[in-house]
Amino acid sequence: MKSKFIKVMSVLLAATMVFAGCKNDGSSQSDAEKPSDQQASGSQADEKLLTIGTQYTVATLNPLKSTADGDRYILSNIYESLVEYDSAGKFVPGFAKTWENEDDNTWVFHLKEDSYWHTGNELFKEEKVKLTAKDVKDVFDFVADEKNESTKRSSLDNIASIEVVDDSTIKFVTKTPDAYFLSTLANIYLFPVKAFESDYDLTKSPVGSGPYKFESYETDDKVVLVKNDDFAIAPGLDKVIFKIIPDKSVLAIALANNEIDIATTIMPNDISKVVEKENLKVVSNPSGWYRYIGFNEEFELFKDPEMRKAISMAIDIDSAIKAVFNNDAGIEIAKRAYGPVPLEFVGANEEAWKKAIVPYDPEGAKKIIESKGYTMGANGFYEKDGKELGFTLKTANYDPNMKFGIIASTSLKQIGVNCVSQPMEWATFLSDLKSGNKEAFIMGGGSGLTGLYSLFHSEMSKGGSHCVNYVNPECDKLIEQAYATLDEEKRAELITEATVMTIKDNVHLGAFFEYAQWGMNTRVLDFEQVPALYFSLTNSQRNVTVK
Amino acid sequence: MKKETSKTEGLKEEFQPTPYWKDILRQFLKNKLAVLGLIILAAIVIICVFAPYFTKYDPVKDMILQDMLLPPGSEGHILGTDDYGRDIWSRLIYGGRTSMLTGLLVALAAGAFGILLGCISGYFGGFVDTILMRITDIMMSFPFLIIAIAIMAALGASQKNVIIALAIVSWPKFARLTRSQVLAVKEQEYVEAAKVAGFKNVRIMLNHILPNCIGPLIIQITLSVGSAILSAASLNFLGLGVDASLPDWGVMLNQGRAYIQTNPYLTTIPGIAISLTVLSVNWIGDGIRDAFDPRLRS
Amino acid sequence: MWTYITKRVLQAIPTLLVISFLIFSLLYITPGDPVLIMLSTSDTQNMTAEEYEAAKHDLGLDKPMLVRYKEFLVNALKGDLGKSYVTDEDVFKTIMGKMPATLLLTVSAVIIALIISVPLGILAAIKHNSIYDSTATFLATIGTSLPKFWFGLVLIIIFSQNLGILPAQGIAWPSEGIASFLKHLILPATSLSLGLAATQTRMIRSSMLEVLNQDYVRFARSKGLKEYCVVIGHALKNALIPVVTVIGSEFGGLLGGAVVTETIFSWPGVGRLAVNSISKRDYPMIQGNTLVLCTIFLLTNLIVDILCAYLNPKIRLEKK
Repeated sequence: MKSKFIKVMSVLLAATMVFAGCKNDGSSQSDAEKPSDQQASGSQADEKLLTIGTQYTVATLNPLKSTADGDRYILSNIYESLVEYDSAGKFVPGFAKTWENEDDNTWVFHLKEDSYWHTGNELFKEEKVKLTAKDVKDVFDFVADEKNESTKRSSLDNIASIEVVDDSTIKFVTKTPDAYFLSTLANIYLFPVKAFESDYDLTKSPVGSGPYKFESYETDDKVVLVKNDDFAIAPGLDKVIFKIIPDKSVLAIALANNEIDIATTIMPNDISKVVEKENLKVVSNPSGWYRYIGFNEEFELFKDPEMRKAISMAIDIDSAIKAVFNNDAGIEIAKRAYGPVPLEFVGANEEAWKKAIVPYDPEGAKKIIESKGYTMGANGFYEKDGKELGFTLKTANYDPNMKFGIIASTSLKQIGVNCVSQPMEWATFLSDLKSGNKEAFIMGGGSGLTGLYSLFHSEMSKGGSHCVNYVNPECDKLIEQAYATLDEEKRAELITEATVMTIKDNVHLGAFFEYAQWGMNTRVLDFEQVPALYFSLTNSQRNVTVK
Repeated sequence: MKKETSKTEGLKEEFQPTPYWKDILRQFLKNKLAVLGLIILAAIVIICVFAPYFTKYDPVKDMILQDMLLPPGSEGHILGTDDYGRDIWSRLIYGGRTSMLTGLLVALAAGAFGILLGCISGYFGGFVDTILMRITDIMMSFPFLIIAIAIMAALGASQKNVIIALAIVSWPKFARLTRSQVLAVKEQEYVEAAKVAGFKNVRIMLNHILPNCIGPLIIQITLSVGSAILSAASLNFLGLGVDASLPDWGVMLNQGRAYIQTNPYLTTIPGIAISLTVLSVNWIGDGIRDAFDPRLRS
Repeated sequence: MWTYITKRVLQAIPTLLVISFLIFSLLYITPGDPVLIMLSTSDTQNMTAEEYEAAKHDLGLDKPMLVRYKEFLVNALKGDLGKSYVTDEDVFKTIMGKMPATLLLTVSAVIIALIISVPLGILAAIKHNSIYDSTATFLATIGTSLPKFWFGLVLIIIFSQNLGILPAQGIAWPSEGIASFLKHLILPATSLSLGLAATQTRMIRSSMLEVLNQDYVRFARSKGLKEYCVVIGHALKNALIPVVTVIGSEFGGLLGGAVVTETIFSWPGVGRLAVNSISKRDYPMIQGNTLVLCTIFLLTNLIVDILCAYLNPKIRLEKK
């Protein structure tokens, strides 16, 4: 019986292997020369191969639709955009070599003359076709056209006209001055409009003009890009593999094991392990990501700014940051966020923020609560009219947000506020934020150049993922003014003024700026220049290669 | 466990004139491991129920961030502190309350319901069987995640709903197992004999079929205690749980995950607690099984 | 026999219909919004109300539920389960593309589980109440009391990080070299098999105990057959019914994906696909996954029923 069973099982296994073998032959012939398991570094011949381990899955490769950070690391290598920005918010040349403002509303771009659409695909075959100003205008017209249903359409609303001056010059005129116009442009990938006219599926096999060509994508597994020999700057790599590794601890181990060259996230507890290794190091993301506790101002308790203030006073943010980001290597992974604008960006002003912020003072918090008529109940929580003082703090179900939420809720319980910390599945969390089913929440984001608008402008704060229902026309006006001010110094002043206003109103309890830590093998060169993947591996700023 | 025995003794009057259940109890008490299991389980239950008498720390409020990650054996913290500076022993014994309750209730509820449906399905066969088994097929194919999220949306977050959600997703396994056992047993001569003698179906199922296929069912139930505790924790992270700062063995295990290399005790301590519970429940289960098996009594 | 199989296959049709409707309704009441997730998974970009509406319309989500269900049903009957919201790929093709990896992992795990549990379970039963028995029970307890991620990570830490002999992540196919194939397979398969091995050991022990005391086994012994022949030849076959049933349930479940194991080992299987599609509320993909999984369950349960009838001829598949 047993032997029969084994026979059956071995037949099954054999069948699986055959099945497996077929699958591989069918879908990725070109992938046969994948590096042998262990050694990404010891790969054969002189092929310069970079393997990047990332926890981000790909949302969509459609250049019209993609908005996720997780897609950008792939798309920015396949497509060019007019300008790129480094993560400190400075703009660097992309397809546009240089640009100038004729006036506050007119932007003239001088384009590269040596960019070509990728060859070797169904769309262009082997024909080398040059990108011109006309192609750029076509893209913008296509995105702006409502029937193409681009998720980026409305970002182009402020464009009054686009004019092709000559093959290598294009002029944009905006309706009102827009300080962040370049950031809008940076989000528009230059794709061949021809693809949509000829029913070519750009999502399945993207074709652009960037430094790397798309080779294959195996859902939830890996993306393979190969060098575009026609690119103006010779790309430093022959092949790039983005390996999707969803577990962050495994990411660090795979890096230490030389299975990957770059790991997108190293968790605090794994940092010392990476630092210890001679051939590895961690580099810090150059700009911080803002994380905060948002109070829903439509929730009865938080309609009162005094109450928001009391809550803010009860939490020892500095100790919480230390506890959440504790690591043996002594690397500072997060900085206290006194205000909502990442410190690297225009308008961040820690001095001004510190003056406006309420200090940690649990006793003071109790006094405020008591002044509102609450008395201490039998089970250690304040109550009024028989109702316990408390609320639910919703968070995403991963660290550091979840951990910070637990610390915050415990701190509040300690002073007598029954704050429940509830980690949630991301999708439910998002829809709760949007629908208003929330009392307080921990959220991250708004860390782009135009973050302030999405965090505090009443237009955005009444719905969407940062919805705190903060309505302050004065603040709205300051933000609008700032966004229309091209002069950097003046803009900085306006932004500082707006942020100080939000701090005084205790709209958010600013928590911290998280600096994601990247792990990399020292054989990777030039990556530290801008240690982030949101930008192409080969551009005017850097040309990543391997030893 | 005790409670259940007394309940079954009550049933005795109704169904069985001979001291069948008393006999089983006597057999059970003869089994050393089973008694040991019962003692361990009782000890755990007592410590958890009277947790405040066994620790001076509050498992939630006594969070001292400066004292985080003290190793076991540190002064004042016999099992050390976790990554929030909370006393692990205190969290362990308070956490046992929810975890034990969840684990045992889910296993019993899912087991009881699954066994009932499996029995009916296997015993009657035919159309009833077809319908019930297709229902189990459907239940088994639903993604757990979706059921959990939907229940949370419909009923709200609470420990009770965690137990309901877990019981809902775990009964089909029991139903299928029971059915396959019943199918094998019901063709035995003594069952035929009982039928011919005109016994009621309920009585045949309860007295002739169930005791003869109880072995694998008890194994499945006892082993599912551990997985129920673990699954309850994962529901906690989906937002179905009550409060992430409350202690719970499964939650403790999950929180220790990031420290699996640097501070392994964060995972091993709750792991041992769960194992110990499951082990004692298993021994008790073995005892019950053996007590039911007439052939082992010699 | 064949009429029985035909009948069961025909039963699949209403079952699939019912489940397709149930999953559709369940998704309808489940909170979460695919558009919102698609547009807000970003630290640096924002979304306007208009973009939101546009995307929603694009996916057809502005239509009422019953209309959407009808459309889904009509297409499904034509063999088209729809396209993923996220990748725009054909749902069925994507799921089937992931199936080989999952099948490989599952079959290997079941084999490993059997290799561990059959001898251990038999040993525990033969030496009832001995040290072997206690050890087996103890190991089985640990196997079910510790979470899968724990086993996975510990195996990776030992074999990848400390010993450096096995890769920590990824899959390799036999065409990429048989050594590499096995190296990638062994850790995930072992870690997945442990829970199953634990349950099976207990199950085999228990049913062996029951069977070993049956009259026909005693009779076989009294005939002077070697103990080995008695155990393997007579007892095991009859002890396998609960084992087969449980493996059937588990096997079906595992083909639906071993989410935790697949995530930890970056194994590109159906489980991760399912979880990713749920977390992105990729409705067509979730529906497709559920239907495929349901079909698998119908099949495995049919096979289990047939196997049980084979193992114990007294079980009749259908009423006479």
